[in-house]
Amino acid sequence: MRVTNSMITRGLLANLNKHLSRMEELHFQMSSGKRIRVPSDDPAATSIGMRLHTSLNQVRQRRANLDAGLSWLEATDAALGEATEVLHRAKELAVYGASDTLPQDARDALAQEVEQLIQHIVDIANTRHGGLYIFSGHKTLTPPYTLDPTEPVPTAPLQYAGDDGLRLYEFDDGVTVPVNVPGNTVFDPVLEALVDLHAALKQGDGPALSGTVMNKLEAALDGLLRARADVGARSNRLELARARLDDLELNLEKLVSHTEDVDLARVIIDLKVAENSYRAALASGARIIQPSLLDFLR
Amino acid sequence: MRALDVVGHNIANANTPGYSRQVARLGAAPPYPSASLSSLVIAGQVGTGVQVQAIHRLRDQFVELQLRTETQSMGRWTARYEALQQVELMLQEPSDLSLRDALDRFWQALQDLHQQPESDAARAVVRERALALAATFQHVHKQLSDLQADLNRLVALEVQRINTLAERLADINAQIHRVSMSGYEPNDLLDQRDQLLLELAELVDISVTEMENRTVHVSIGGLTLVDGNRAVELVTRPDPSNNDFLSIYWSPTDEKMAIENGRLAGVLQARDDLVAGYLSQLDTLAQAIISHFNALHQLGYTLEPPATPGGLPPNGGQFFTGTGAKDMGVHGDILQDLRKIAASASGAPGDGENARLLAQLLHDPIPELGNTSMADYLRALVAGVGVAAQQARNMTASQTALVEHLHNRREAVSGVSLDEEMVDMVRFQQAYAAAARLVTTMDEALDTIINRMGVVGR
Repeated sequence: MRVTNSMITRGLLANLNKHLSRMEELHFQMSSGKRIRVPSDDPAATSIGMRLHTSLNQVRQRRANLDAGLSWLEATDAALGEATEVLHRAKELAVYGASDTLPQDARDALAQEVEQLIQHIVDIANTRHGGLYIFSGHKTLTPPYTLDPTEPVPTAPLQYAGDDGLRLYEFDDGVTVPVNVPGNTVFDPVLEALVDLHAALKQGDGPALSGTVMNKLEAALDGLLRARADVGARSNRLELARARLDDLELNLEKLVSHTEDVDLARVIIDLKVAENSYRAALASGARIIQPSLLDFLR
Repeated sequence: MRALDVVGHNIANANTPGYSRQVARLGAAPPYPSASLSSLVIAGQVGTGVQVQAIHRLRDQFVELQLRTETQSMGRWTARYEALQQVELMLQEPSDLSLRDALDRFWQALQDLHQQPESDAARAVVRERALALAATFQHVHKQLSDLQADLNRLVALEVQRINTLAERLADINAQIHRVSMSGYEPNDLLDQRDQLLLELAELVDISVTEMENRTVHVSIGGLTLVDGNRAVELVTRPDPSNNDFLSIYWSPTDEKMAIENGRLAGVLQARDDLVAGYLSQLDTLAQAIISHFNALHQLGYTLEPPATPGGLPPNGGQFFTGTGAKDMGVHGDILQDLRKIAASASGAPGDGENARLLAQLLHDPIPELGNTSMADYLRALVAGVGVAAQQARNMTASQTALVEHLHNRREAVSGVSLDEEMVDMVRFQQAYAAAARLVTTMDEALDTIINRMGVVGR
């Protein structure tokens, strides 16, 4: 084949250009740390990367949901714990008041304390977390119980103003966990028992104090303990899910990095190789385009 | 001397694109005497010297044909790749500015709302992210439409270039015809014509037939573009059947032309298939989001006070407005009153179930999207662009390499090698010197006869 001057220059230019664009690509990879600049660099990896990013966002969001849920459950647990303390005290008062030797004015004093306990339980039931009533079901903007200021001890059972809505937080695709306890399930029996206790003390009804009232107090306490156990179980479940999400996040981050990030050692070697071939092309180009027969004809 | 002229011409045109090396074909001049009965009988014929019989250009017509065909494909793939490169940049993937990211963030905001449906802050974030999502849709749509409009303008420009080239071809055809009628070989004109044909082939799929009178007949899809010294004009006109984008018509009969290859075909395909397809996919996605989101939103309850005390608050209204990606927006009611976001499924303010369902919608299969989720549909769209761009890039690279190779083959036959020309130059110079020496020798012989003879005793 004849080889002409313009073939050589054309070929040289094309090759130099090829080397340069390869070096530019490697330089981008090295300076950005990313393997993919536009989808066409690797369409499959781009698509996978998009899914991974979405999953990563989901995992992070669900962890935020979990954290918020855990703090609700903690607030609920603390409030229920306090209510348990109150009931223990009420039981002591009932035992004390049931004693036949106790004069009525001492019982009245005990009734005074029960009045305070009722007040306290209503305050606990009206606990707010982040400005929201946690025992009102879905009606978080309404306090679950309101005491009539003119009637410190209610004669009729207190009206629960909330609903039995469960606050569901999502922590996996379509999987939710309730983070609240509707107040009526726990506080209605508690309040009823306390009101009865108050009445029995006022009336000096010793048998009732050690009988029906005590039974009611026990039942209310059981209810509280059951609710606490339930809250604790849900917290555990969320803690476990949280650990799983942490793992998942780490894995996803690894995968994202694996999909999108460059292997720096490889890029450096590739860049060196590309640089060498570029230099070689330049050197051989400088030699080959220089001489022609023209230089030797005199 | 003529041979040296040709060498000089070759050297001068060593870098002219499309120039073919020319050689002077030398032949011995007719010998003397010519054969005849009445001629003197002498020993043998005597040569009368040399003459330039023809000046040829060295050209491989087959390579030329291949070069035209492959250049057409190169033009088409290049045009497609150029358009797809821009589409890729518009989709901003992978990055944190993409549509995917806007969708993800909107989902996150809804998830936040489901945990705290009472919170104005969470509602405000949902509103902002919804606005950002709508704005991103609009932005991508506008960029794609702008690209489509640019491609449309490019169609007009390319057709104009085709017309100009056709006229120049017709002109050169006429010159070639005249020159060859007078018996000369129009080498340089033929080179120029080949070069014009190659430029034209990059633009559009032409078929070329060389006629007996040495003119070429050029046609596109069976419709004549250049016939002898006559060029047919192509016109562009908005086509009502294709969104008023320009179509190309053959002026004599006003027939719509189908362009199959070359840059122009690439531009048309990018405008009518690729970009138009992506726009419609984008619209489908935006429509699915608008309609499904609104439908579910209307089932939920707002945070507004109930109409009657103790009753349920009003249902949600429209959340998104618009008919597609172009005009997607957030409804004015939502913009004015955050409480109009219907996060509750039961009506109670602390219920975030509807917000959770709204968030879930973004990852649920949607019938209009071929039973894929919105996120998956978007991924498929981006991956589709990526695959198309990758294919276009690979095809452009391989076609360019092929064309380069054919250029090399053409160069191997037609290119000017300076070394070769130098050798020829020296050769012809030596022949010239030798011829000159012959003249000197003859001169000396004559000198001997005229001046040295008959001088005995003088």
